[in-house]
Amino acid sequence: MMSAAHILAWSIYVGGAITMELVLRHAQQFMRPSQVAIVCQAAGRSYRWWSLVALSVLMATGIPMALRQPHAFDASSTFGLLLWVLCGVWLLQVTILALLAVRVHPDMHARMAAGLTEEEIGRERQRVAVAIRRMDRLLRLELAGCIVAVLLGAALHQLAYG
Amino acid sequence: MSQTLLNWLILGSGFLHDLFICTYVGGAVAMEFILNPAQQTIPPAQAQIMGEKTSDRFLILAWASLLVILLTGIARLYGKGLIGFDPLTTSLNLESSYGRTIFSMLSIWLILVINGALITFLFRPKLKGKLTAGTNQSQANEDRNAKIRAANWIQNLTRLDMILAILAVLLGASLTQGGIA
Repeated sequence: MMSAAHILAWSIYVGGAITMELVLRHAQQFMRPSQVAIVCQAAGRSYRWWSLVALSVLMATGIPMALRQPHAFDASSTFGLLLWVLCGVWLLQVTILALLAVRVHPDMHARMAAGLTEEEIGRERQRVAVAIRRMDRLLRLELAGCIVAVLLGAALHQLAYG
Repeated sequence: MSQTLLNWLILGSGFLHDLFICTYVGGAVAMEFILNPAQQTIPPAQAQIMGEKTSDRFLILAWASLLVILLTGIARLYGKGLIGFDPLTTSLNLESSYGRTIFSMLSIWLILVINGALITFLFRPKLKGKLTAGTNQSQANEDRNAKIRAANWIQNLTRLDMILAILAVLLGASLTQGGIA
């Protein structure tokens, strides 16, 4: 059950990241910018929760699974070293998720107050543009992290089960 | 084949197998629970465009995933010495739990392919079909009803695919313990 939950959590997390990048981003090109913002906000919000649950399940099931193996967290063995790298990737993914939730998404979807001057509106728009670029970079880094994690998982599986 | 090459084959096929299973399963979950609800937050005309574009792109991903999953699955069985160069000569059989689990996964793969073919070649074209000039009211109504039926079929098949894919993941996970079926 534990390995099933672990694989399912990986599937949902990695597949979600791939779908957001390859499917949603593609569809956005054909939609009005105002609607893109609404869809991104709604999809981003629920994706965040799914990711959070998936990452929590990964840690909760991954540690007991790893401890069943000899030399689990022994960095002098290949298995242990790869496991530590995988833990680092997990931490990176959690950091990216936190940055998206706490910093980038609020910056992107902040509403402009009424009565702003032209200059202030310009500054606000520039801030949103910076947030969008930052989000793009973070999402690509997250996707790269996912792919590296799958590769590490495959290597660990091979070392453990042949 | 040398042992080093065999190890790389097992690692490469394992990586691609896992990656494309993630793409299929996670994609199906994301389409159902993330993109569909997000689509309902925008006006129907824009939602239709979004639905069409996301489905078109996801279908490509799903077909690519199904193909890679089969090929890498065969490569993994070959790497483990369970099949030879000719996949039809296999030491897998229905008497062992491992063999039954592999055959159950293969059956699920076949159902996913059939469902995918129904969606791609039967129901999606019906959904995309446009009315020709000179269509009367009753024909327009009939066309609309056919589109609603096609949309319902697609929705039900997609949900069934998602459940089957999750079941396949559970079966695959059980293989490390010798299978479950």
